[in-house]
Amino acid sequence: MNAPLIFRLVGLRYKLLWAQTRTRNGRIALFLAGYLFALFILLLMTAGGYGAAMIAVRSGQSEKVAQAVLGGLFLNALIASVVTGFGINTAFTDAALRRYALSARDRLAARHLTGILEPVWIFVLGLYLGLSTGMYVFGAGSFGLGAAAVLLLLIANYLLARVLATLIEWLSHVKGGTAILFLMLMGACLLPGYLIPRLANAHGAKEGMLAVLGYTPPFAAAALMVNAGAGMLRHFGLLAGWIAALLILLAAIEKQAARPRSAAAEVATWDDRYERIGSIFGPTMAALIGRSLRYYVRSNKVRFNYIGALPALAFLTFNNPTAAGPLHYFVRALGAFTVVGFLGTAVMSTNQFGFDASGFRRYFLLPIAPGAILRASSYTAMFVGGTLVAAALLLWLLFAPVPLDAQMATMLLAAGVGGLCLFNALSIWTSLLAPRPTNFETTFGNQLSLSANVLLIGGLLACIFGVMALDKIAGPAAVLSYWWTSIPAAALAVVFYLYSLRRGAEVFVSRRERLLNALEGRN
Amino acid sequence: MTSAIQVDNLTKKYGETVAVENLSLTVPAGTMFGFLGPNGSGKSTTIGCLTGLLDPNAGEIRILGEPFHDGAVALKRRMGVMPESLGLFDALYAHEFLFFQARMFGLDEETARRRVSELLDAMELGGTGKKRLSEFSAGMRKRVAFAAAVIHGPDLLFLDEPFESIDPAGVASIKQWLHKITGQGRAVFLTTHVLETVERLCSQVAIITKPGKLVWQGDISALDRDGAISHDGREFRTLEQLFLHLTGERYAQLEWL
Repeated sequence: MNAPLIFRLVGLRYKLLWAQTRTRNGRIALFLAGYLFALFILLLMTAGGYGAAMIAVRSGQSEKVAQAVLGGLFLNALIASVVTGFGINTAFTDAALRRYALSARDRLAARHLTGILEPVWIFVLGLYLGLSTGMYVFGAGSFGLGAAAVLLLLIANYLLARVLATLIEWLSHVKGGTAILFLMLMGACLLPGYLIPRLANAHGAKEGMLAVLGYTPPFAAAALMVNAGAGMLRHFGLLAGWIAALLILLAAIEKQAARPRSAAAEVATWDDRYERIGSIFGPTMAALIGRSLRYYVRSNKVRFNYIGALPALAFLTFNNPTAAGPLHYFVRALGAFTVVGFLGTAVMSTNQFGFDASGFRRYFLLPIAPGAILRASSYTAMFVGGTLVAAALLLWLLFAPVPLDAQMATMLLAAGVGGLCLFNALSIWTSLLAPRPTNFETTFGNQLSLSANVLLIGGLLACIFGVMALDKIAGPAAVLSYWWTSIPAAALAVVFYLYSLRRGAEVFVSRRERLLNALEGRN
Repeated sequence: MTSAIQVDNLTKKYGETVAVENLSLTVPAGTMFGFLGPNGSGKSTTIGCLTGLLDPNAGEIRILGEPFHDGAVALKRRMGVMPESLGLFDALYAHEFLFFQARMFGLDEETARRRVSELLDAMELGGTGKKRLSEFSAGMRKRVAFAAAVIHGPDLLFLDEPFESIDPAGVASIKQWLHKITGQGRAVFLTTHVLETVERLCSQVAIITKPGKLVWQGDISALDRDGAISHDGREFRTLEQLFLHLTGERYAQLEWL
């Protein structure tokens, strides 16, 4: 194995990451990342891994707390990497590595070593290590064993995230894959809410579930962390088995995904559906919106988010054990409706020109006012997001376990329209002020700018926790009694959207050289 | 006769860096005009200014006899541009991209479809089917970009490095079409580093050097008749000799190579 070259590539990956901090946006991102890191370390010491270890040992429930903490971290890291794309960026593809003197096995090692040494996974390792160090300091385990256990757990965590991401990437490329993905997402979002309450009431189900969970990597690592002697080999074997199985599975899926598609053999046909949809916005917009729509429809990133938006928000609306009931569902649905249209398109709408690559240059060669390009791009996001709002409303009216009510329907519609306008208005500004060149072909990897991430993640969290707070503080009855406020609020959002479109068109022209430089990677 | 391009004292700066300095040149209508210069001399920046992509800091540009600025929509409709970076929309199929380009330049649906089919056949891209532009080879991408530049029958064509990566048969076809275009009184403004091509193809040439300064403009048709170009009291029998003399470019000697 060509270890020196592999480690030089890892070094190169870090140099490239550091190079990103040379831009203004990169420096802001670095500052915020440092700030968040310090905050997390503080939380970790007080309530997270290290603090949890202290509580675990003092309460005499070391293994149970370790299982819960490791299981939670494992699941969160998995969701964060697969859903938001952090930590599964492909720094070097197999094709890119072929230019170096590396064998196939070396290339595999280089790819996954650069993958697992991404800052996100180092951060997750830090959290795991906090718990194992705490356990050791408070006398509940061995430092060496604990460290080895969390290292193996991290590898399993990374590999599982990779397996899921590669599987989804592959499914999004094959015929019928989108339908399978949709079913998988529906299952992942809705099944826990259905099964957990039933299993909790079933006799012996809890013990059975714990026995099954005992075979998972977090539980094996927890056992190693606190039980130095008993079953050590079995737990190490279990973790090693998981890693081996995941590696084999990953290799198999990667091999399948790498098989060339016979696209060239398919006959191209004239398909003007997109232009027909585009002509809804006027004849001059038809070609521009048609082009833009094709980008939305063909982007794996958008498709994945689009089909995942409704199940994910349904999960957040109906799975809250602290406040169940029709009116509570309704209040939480207000948050879901506000963000649903945006969530499905955000990866593209917050960075409208990031996917165009050198095509961005062409916009300014066209015999049209440049403002039309911005409008077409934004109208497309509104249209695609609007279909999600309409679908959400229809599903709500047909299936929600809430009595049909005109005021509720008005509020939900206003939340949907208002949210769509507000988030798309803000997306115009992130697209113009913080554009980033983005790979159209990938499904995963967070390639958004800091501002776009703040808008996407911050917007989602604000909507979810905002309505939870509203539900708790004001209560559903009070929310419903002020139903009429939703109409002026939505109208305000519409006005803000129209203003952003108009002002954005001016900024689009004045900043075009900077946009060109940013999107062609020259700053 | 009206000039296809008339540039007076064009200056373009990026911050403090001067990319093009006081450039003045004239491109007569019906000419194949070669615009040459070493790497980084400001050729693409000049094309950017002439096509409305970049805002010049100073100077005046007249295209097809009319003042040109980035908002000159009617003039843009009469221009075809093949940028160096090609400017393709990678997620589209070739026929979709060309159809988009044709519609944006005002062709009706039927004409657009007919021209797309004809161009794809002429460019030997008819069998690419449902293959996205991102999956095309460099030469195929270049052919698509060329097709996009000519689909609306422009009066003035800007081509930035048009022959790079295209196979000899493709180059021969494109040259033939370019001769047809200039034969109809339309102008072609092209940049390339392949001086032999310029020598055979162009009648007029301008050579610039860093930072975007014009050092020579003139007729090179004498070279095609085994003649020579006189400059600075010397005779140059090839464009390469003239180019190297004017730009001061030298061959570097690498002992280890």
